[in-house]
Amino acid sequence: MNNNNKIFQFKLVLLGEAAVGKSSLVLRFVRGHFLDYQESTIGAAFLAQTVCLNDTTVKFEIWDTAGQERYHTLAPMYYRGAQAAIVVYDIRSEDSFERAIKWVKELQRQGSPNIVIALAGNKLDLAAKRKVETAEAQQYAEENGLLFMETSAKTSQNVNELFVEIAKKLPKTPTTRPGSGRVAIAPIDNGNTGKKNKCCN
Amino acid sequence: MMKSDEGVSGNSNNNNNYKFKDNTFRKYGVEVVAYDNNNNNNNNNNNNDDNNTVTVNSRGFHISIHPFSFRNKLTINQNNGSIGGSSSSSSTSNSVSTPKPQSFYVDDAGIAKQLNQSVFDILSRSRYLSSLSHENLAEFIAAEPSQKHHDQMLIVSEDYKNSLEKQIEIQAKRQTPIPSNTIGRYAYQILKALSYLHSQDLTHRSLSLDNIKLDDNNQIKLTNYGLYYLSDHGENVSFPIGNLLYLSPESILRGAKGSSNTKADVWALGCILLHICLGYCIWQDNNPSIVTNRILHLSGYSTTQSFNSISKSFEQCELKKTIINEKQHEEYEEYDDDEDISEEEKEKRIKDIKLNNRDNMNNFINSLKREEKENSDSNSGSSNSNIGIGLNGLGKELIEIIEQCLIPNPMDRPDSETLLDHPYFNEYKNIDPYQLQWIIKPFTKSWDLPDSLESLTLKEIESYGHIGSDNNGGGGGGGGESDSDIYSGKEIYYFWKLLGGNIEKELVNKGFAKASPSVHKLPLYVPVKASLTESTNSGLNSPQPYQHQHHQHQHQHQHPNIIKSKNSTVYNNEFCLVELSNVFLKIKESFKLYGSKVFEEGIEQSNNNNNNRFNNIENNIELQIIIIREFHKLLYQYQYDDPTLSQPKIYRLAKLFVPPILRGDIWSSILGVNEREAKQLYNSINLDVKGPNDKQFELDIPRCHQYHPLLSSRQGHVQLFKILKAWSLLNLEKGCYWQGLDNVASPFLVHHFFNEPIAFASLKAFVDKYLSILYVPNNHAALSEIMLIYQQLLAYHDPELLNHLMDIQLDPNLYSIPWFITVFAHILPIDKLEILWDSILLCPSSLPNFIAASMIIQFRDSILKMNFEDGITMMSMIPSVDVHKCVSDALSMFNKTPLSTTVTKFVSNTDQELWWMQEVPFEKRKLELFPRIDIHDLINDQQKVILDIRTPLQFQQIHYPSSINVNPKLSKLQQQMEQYKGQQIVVIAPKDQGVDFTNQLIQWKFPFVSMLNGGMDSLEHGAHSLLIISNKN
Repeated sequence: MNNNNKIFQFKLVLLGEAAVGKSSLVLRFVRGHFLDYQESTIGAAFLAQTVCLNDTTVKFEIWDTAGQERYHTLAPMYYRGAQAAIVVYDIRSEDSFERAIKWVKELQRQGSPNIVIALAGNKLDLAAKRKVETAEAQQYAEENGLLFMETSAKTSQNVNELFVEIAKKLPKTPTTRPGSGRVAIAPIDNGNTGKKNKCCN
Repeated sequence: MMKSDEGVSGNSNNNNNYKFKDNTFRKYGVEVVAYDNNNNNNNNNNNNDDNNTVTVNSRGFHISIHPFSFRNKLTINQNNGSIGGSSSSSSTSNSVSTPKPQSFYVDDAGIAKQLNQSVFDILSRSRYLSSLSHENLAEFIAAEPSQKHHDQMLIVSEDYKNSLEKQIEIQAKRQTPIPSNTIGRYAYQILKALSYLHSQDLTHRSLSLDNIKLDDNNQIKLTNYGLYYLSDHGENVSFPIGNLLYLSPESILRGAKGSSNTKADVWALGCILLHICLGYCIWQDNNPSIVTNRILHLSGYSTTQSFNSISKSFEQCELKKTIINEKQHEEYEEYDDDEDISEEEKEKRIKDIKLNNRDNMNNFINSLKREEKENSDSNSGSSNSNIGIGLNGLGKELIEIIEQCLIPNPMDRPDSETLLDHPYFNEYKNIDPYQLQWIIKPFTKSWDLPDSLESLTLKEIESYGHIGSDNNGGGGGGGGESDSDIYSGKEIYYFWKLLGGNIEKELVNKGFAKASPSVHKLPLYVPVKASLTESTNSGLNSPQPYQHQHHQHQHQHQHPNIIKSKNSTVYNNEFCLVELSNVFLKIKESFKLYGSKVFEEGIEQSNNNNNNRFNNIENNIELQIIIIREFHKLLYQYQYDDPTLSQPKIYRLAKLFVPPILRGDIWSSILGVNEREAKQLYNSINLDVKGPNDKQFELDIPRCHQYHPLLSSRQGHVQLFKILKAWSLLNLEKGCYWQGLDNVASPFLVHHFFNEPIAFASLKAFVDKYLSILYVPNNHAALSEIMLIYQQLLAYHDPELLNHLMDIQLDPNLYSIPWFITVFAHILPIDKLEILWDSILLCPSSLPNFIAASMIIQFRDSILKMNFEDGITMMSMIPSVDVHKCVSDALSMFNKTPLSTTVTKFVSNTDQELWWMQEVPFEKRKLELFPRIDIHDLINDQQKVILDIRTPLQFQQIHYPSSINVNPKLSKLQQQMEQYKGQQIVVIAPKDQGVDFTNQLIQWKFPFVSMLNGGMDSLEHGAHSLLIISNKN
C-alpha cells in the first residue's frame, strides 16, 4: 500500500446544541485562535483544514452548523454526504449531552452509512462546574462505536487530537478522491410542503 | 450694605432672556435665531448681506473635558507568573469569586492591561447620564476612553466659566455680599437640579462651590454630577469622590468609598449655602483629619475637635471616650451591605448609631448668629466680616432650610423634594418659566392643564403668555419671520469635532495630558494605618485620603498616618474648557447661507434631478447644521404634532443625509414609532413571567456584537435581554425567536440605550416590515423564495458571476442565510450596518435583495477565479465590504431593474384563465435563472429588446409592437443574439416554454434578461389594444 503524499478529502460536520462551542472548536483547529465571545452561527459556516498523518494527508471540509433548534431543518443539508461528524456537548450541561445523543441517533439513522462520529465534551477548562461525568459519556460512546474526547477550545486541549483521531479512523480507499466531499445541495424536503413539519417542536 | 448687585439679582432676568421654546426638538443648549428682515423692510438701504440677522444665544455655553483615571482591575496570577484574566485563589485581587474571562492588551511598555469590563460599563453608564435633561444641569455630553492612556476616561460636558466659587470671590472683592434673595434663588435652582437627579436615582456626591456653575444669565448649572454614578459609586476609580468640606457625616462613617445616598447631597447643599452666606467655609480648615473630626463633632460624636461656643471656634481637645468604636462601625457596614434586612430593621439599626444628636450642630449655628450680632454691635473688624451677608441677613425661613439640610442623621434629614416643597420657594416657583413645563409636556397635543387650575394665581396665568410667544423679544433685528433652533451640547460637540476638534489634542495643547505610565499612578495619599482620630486607633479602618488639588493655595498639612507618594496623580478636579467661538460662528454663517427658502429650493432640486448641489454633505458642516435644524422641526412635529405631515418630509430629508447624531430618532420616526404608544405597549408587557426563549437569550446575548462597548456592558446585556424577551412575549403565537434577532435588535439598542420602549418598538416595526415572513416556525419556503429572488437579480445584473457560482456549486443556501435572516445585522459590524440600514429603511422592502447582489458583485473578480472551497471561504470576507459603494451600486441596480422582478406574482384563488397568476411549484421555478416581469414593466419602458419565441405563425397573428420573432432552435442562435447583448431583453414565450432559451441567454452571459410572465396571454388580457393583430383572420 502506497499512500505517500496522497491527499484525501473528507466532509466533516459539527452538530450540537447552541453555545456548546462548535464554532470555537473549529476556529481553534483551523485558525488556532479563540474568542471569549464567539458570535452565534446562523445557517452554517465553512472552513477547511488539513491534518498530516504518517503517510497521508487528510483534508477536512468542515461545516459548522447553527445550534439553535430552529435551524434544525437546515442540518440535513450539511450532514448529507458527510463522512465524519463531531457531535459536541458542554460538559457543564446535561441537556446538551441529551441533545448530543439525539444528534448521534439522527446521524445513525439518516447520515451516510459508515459515517465516523466523534463525541466531544467541550469546555474542559471549566471542569470545576462539570455536570456530565466522563465515564458516562465514555460508556455511551463505546456502546455506540463513537470516538470520544473531552476538549477545550479555550486551552486547545485535545482539539487537534480529536481531528487526528477522526482522520486516522476514516477509510483511505482510492474512491475517496478529492472533491467527493462536496455538499449535496439538494434542499431538504421536509420544510417544503409547509404542511407538517416534524422539526419544530 | 444691602445693595443688590445687578449681576446677581437674577429674578428680573427670568422673563427677558429666558424664552422657553415649545416648538423644537431640543430643549436646552445653544439657541440660534435668524430674523429675516425682508418682509417688513423699514430700511430700504439695507445691504443684501444684512438681510437676515442671526443671533447665537449661548449664555456662556462652553464644553469642558475632564480626564479621570479609572481603576485597572489588573489581576496577576501568581501561580505561573503570567498575567491572566481569571482571578485564581492566589490572585492579588480580593474580589470576584466567579472568574469572568477578560481580554488583555499589552501596551508599549509591555505591561498587560485589561481591555476591561469597567471601560464598557463606564461607557454604558455614560449613556444614561447623557439622556438626562434639566435646565439647571449642565448637559452630560459624552464619556470617551482616552486613546493615549488606556486607564483614562475623558468626560465631555457642557460647562461655564463662572461658578459659585468665583462669584463669591468677585463679591468679596467688591465688598458686596451676595444678597439674600439671590441665595434663595440659588438654593431653589440647586434643589431643583438635585431633586431631578435624585428622581433619576442619581447621587451627585461631589457637590461643591466650584462645580455649581453660573451661565451668563446667572442661572445655576450643576456640573460633575456624573462621576459618582459613572464610577459605580467610586468602585471604578482609585480616588475618593466628593469634596470633604461638603461631605456628609454618614458618608464619612461609611468610609472614603462607601456609597452615599441622595441625602448626602442635601447635607452638601446645607454646607454650601452656609458658605455663601458666611463667605467662608464653616470648617475653617483644610486638613482632612481636622475637618473630619469637626464634621463628626457637630454630628454628635466626641472627637479630638470640638466647638467651643464661648470662644466661637473649634478647638483641639483631649478625646475622653471614643463613641465610635469598632462595633458601631461594623453595624454601619452591616447596614450598608445587608440587603436582606427589612426597612424597619435598617431604620432601627441606624438609630442605634449615634448620629441623632443635634445639640452640637444647633449650638454651632446659634453661636454663629450670636457672633455676628456681637461683631456688628461692636463694629469691630472681625476677620470674616463683609464677605458674606451673614446668617442674620438671611430670612428666617432660609436659615430653617439650611438647618434642615444639616441634620446629622440622614434618616431625619429631609430629601430634596421635600425641601423644594418648603413654602419659602413659592415666590421662586411662581416666576420660574420651567415650572410651567407641564403645559408643553411631550406627548400632549393640547395643553395638558393640571386639575388644580383654579388654584393658579392671576400672576401665574399671566406668565404663561411669555411662553407661547416666540417671535417677540430676543436680541435679534426685530420683526420679520424668525427661524430658530436650539442645538444641544451633543450637537455643538459634534459640530466642533466636524470642524477638526479633538479632545485629546485639546488636552495636550492646554497642558492637561501629562504622560505618565499608569503603573506610577498611585494615590497621592496612601493610608498606612488609617484611623479616624490621631490619638487613638479605635477609629475607623477606612482610608480618608481626602485632598483636593484645587485648594492648593491653602497650606496642606501632612497627616502623620498618611504617606505621600511620589509621581502620583490623584483625582484632578480641573476641567479643560474648550473654545467654541468657531462653532458659533459656523452656525451663524450656516443660518445666513441657507435661509429656509434657500434650503427648501436646494432640497427640491436635489430630489428632482439628482443634481449635486448638496453633494458631499458629510464634509459640509454648514449644510449639516441646517439639516439638523430641519430634522429638529420635523422630529418634533412627528412626535408631538401631526406625524402624517412630517413623516414624508423626514423621508425626503433622510434620503439626502442622515446625521449620525439623530440617526436613532430618524429611524424610529421612519418606522412609525410613536414615543407614547411605544411606552404604553412596552409597559403593558409583563417581563417577570418566564419566557419560552429566556435560556436561549442568555446563551446568545453575551456573544452578540461583543466588540461594541455598549453591547458588551452589563447594562447592555440586561437591556437587550428585556427587549428580546418583550418581543418574544408579544409574538408568542405567530412569531418566534430565531438566532439573529439579537443582532437585529442591537443597532436599535445602541441608538436608544436606556430607552428600552423605543428600542423595542423600533425593533418590532423593523421586524414587521422586513422579517415577519422569516420569523415564523417554518421559514424554509420564505427563505428559499428570498434566495431565489436574490439569485435571479444576480443573473440579471451579473450573469457571468452567477454562472460561475453555479459551476462551482456555491449555492446561496450555503452562505446567504445569515444575510437575509438578519438583514445583514449578523455579518456586518454596527457602524457599517448603519449605513446600509439608512438606505434600507428609506427604500422598498426589496432593497436587501439588491444589497446582497451588489455586495457579492464587489468581490466578483476574486470569486470568478475561485473554486468552491475558496469561494465559500471568501464569504467570510464579506464584512470587509465597502458599504457606501455597496449602497450606491444597489440603488443604481434598483433603478435599472423592473419593479415587478422582486414582486410575487401569485394571487390566490385566481381564474383558470389567468394561469400566469397561479402558484408554480418552487422546484419548477427554481430552474429559472431569470426573473419574470409583468406587462406594466414591458409597456412602461420602451427601451427593451423583446424576443418573441413563438412560432412565426403565432407571431404573425398577434404580436407586441417592435418585438422580434426568434426561432429558439436556430443553429447560429448565439451569433444572432450577440447584437442584443447589454440591452434589456424580455422574452415572450408560449405557456410552459422558453425556460431553456432564456436560461441559455444567461449562460451566454447576457445581462438584463427577463421573461414576460404569462407571455402573450397576459398581454392579450391586459394590453390588448397595444397589440398588432393580423387582419387575415
